[in-house]
Amino acid sequence: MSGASELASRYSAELSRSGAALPDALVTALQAIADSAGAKSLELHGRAIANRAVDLAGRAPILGAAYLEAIPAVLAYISPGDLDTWAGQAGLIDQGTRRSAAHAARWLAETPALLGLVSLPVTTRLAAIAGRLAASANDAASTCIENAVPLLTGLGPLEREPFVVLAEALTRAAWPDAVLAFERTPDLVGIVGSADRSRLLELAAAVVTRPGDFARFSAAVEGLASIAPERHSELLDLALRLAEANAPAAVSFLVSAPRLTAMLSSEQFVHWYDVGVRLLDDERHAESIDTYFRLESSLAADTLTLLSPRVELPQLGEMLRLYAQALTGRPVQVRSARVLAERGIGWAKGDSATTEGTAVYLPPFIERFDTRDANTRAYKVCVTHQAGRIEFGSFDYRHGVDGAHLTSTVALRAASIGIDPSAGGLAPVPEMHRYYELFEDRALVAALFSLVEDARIDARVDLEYPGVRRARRDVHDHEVRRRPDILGLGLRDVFAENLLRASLGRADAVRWPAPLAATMARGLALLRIVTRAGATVQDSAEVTARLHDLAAGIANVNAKTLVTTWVAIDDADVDAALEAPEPLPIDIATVRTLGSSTFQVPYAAPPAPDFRGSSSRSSCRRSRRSPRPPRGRRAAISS
Amino acid sequence: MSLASKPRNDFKRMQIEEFRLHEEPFYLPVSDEVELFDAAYEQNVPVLLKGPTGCGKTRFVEYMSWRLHRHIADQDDEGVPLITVACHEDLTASDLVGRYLLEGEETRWIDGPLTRAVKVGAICYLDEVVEARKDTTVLIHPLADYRRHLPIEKRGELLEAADGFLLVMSYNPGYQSALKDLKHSTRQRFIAIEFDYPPRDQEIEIIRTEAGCSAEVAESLAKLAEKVRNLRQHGLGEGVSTRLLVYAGKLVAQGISPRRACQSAIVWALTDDVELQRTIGEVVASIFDD
Repeated sequence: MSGASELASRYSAELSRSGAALPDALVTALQAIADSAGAKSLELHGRAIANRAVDLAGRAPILGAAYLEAIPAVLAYISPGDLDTWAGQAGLIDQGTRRSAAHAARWLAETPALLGLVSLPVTTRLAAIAGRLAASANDAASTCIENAVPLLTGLGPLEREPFVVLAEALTRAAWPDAVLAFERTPDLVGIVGSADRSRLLELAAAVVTRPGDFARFSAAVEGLASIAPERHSELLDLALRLAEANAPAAVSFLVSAPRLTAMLSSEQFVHWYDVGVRLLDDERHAESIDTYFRLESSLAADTLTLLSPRVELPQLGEMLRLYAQALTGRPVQVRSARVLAERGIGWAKGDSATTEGTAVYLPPFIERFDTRDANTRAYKVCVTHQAGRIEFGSFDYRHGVDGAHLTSTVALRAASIGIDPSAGGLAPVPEMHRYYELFEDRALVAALFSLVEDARIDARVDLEYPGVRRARRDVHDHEVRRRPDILGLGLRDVFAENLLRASLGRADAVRWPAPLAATMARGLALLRIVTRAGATVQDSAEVTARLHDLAAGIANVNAKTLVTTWVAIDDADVDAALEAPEPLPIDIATVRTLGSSTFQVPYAAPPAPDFRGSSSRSSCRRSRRSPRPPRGRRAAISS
Repeated sequence: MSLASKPRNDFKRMQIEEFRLHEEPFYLPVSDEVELFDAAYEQNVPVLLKGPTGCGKTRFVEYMSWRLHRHIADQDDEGVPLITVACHEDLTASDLVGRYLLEGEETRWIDGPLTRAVKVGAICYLDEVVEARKDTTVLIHPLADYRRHLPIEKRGELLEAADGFLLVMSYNPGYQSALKDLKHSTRQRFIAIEFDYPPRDQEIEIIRTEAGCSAEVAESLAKLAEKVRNLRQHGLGEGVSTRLLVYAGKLVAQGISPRRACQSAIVWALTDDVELQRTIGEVVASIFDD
């Protein structure tokens, strides 16, 4: 008989009273000690182990069984001398009830895996947490024990102990929050990079002092997802510093962080933080510190305003509404363009200004310039332009009516494609739709109309509101710097892009193949018509029609395949272009002479500048009119 | 022109019924208001002038007084005096008719402006008449119909108006409350001439002439006026008056920058609402370049 069996036999009768299998389990456990630590160790610790087994089995048979069954696995992580300490963890959980005994047994069964992740003292602290939860609610203890292994497995080695510190803090502050922590911590720490996770957990432990704190902290941390990961470390450092003096303020700081980081540079951000921290030096401000970091105090808002160049629409909305009202004489509303974007209206972007004639939609904020004044002026440029569309008749197009400078050709165009100008459709059709019906390429004509009409409005705004001119020029210059590289476009796209640049007052930014200059010069000359005094939307429509004729004749080959010199168009050439013979179409044969491939890319409209948005997209959506009769290629028409 | 070089006028003292306009006041007719007034004067029909503040009602009465004076002066050198009473909430019938004053041991009757006008055949202009106390209507009614009588109760007299007397009243329907509106029994004793701010071209001409500023500045001020008037009923109780535009034009003519002149004469004068001030300031900045 081995030493283990001999020792076990002395406890067999006593253990049998608690469970028939217990004596055998004791033999197995003692044999494991002998195998792992030697006969001497068995001699040294065997009795204590057997006595602990008898004690636990006496409290609850499943406890004794769990203890003995776990010993072989536990011995892989701790020495036989620590077994009693480990077994003592069961006593932290067992409250003398069947449920708590079951929790304690489950705990002993889980500990081999736990000991693979954390030290024995840490498992003891976890057991104490489970015990405190068991005293409050059995379900809470279950959650803790079930989640402990997977949770700690998901955390890095350096994050595990900080989690235990957090769980201890939560258990003291509000046990339901501790349950939440066992459920949500893996997702939460995943929001920040691995290098920041332990500090995130340290911060959590520092700020949870009252029920609900952990939920608020979790929400704040979720907000960090919207912040660039490289800024997380700095944020956590600042929050930890703050938490030492004022825990609620630290959480408020994290809650405000997404807005602050969006508005402030790193340097400005720290400056704003320091202003708040200085409040800590004065006890009179104790309560206002949290308000400051929640961005709810006037000091916080004023400091933010002082530091950030960003201007938000709500700050100016009412003034801009009254301003638009004054300019147009109509009850114009001012709304965020994001409203349109959220409605999924295809022609509207959330960051571009636009109007449909009754409301002006503006970007929710502007921060493209370095100062608040400049960004405020940019808002004013947006509103003046959009109000200009209303004031100067962009929505007053009447089909077939002559402009101040050009005679309408729509009747000729309609006749050439077999549309009876007097015929009605299935439903009433807006005038602008009747106009678009005349053109094969709606996207092209819509983009051209948009830039032509915008050029007319800008010219008119310059005339009527000279005080806005300088700010508008700044905005135009900013837009021109963001224009796409023309060598990445098709040649027809370049034509439209050049017109747009010219419409921004930057004809110097136009680039066009030198041998084809006559076409571009004519396009620019046509565009100038709408900048003349008295030009109306009818002129814009007619200029657009003629530009469409020009553009439609340009083969949309990839610009970079042309072997040519790209030049600006001479002002004198533009002046003379309307008197010169109409240039020939730039067809495939023509571009081939410049070494281009014959492959044409689909037409892509030039992106509209943000302050202009689109004046035509809403009108160019498919009308409810009956479909046009099929037709062949149209001839260019001008009068 | 510097203050030092400005010609000085010595003050003149005169009885109110002696006040006549000998120089033509600048007035640009907007419609047929001159013909209407002429006809009313000929027929002794009292006139009610309605319109917003600063649109030219008072200037119109002055102009008509001068015009009628010039017309009549051919036959009668005395012409048509103009007696103007700025009505206010403490103005009573006694203030208009007259009262007894203590002089030593005696009392002496002093005629009020209305009595004087009735006696000398003047135009009596009651400016903002709805501001006056209700007891004034007792006087206005018999004077404003066919009777042309002014009862002076304290003296037990009834005065019949001299030839040339005409009662003219003005009021601004825009800011009168229901409590201060004119009663129909009063209203319907007058013909009414409605005034509004003049059309842009005429307003430019008025500003240029009155303020002595350039046509370009006058044009911009008239444009500004249109824009600011668009804010009526949307924060502003009244639009900017032609009078304020003239003031702004005068400041510009004196070398003040247009933006600063407009801020002082228009933005701050019009409203104390910060948001509206900012809005109007932005409109000013849009219309006038730096």
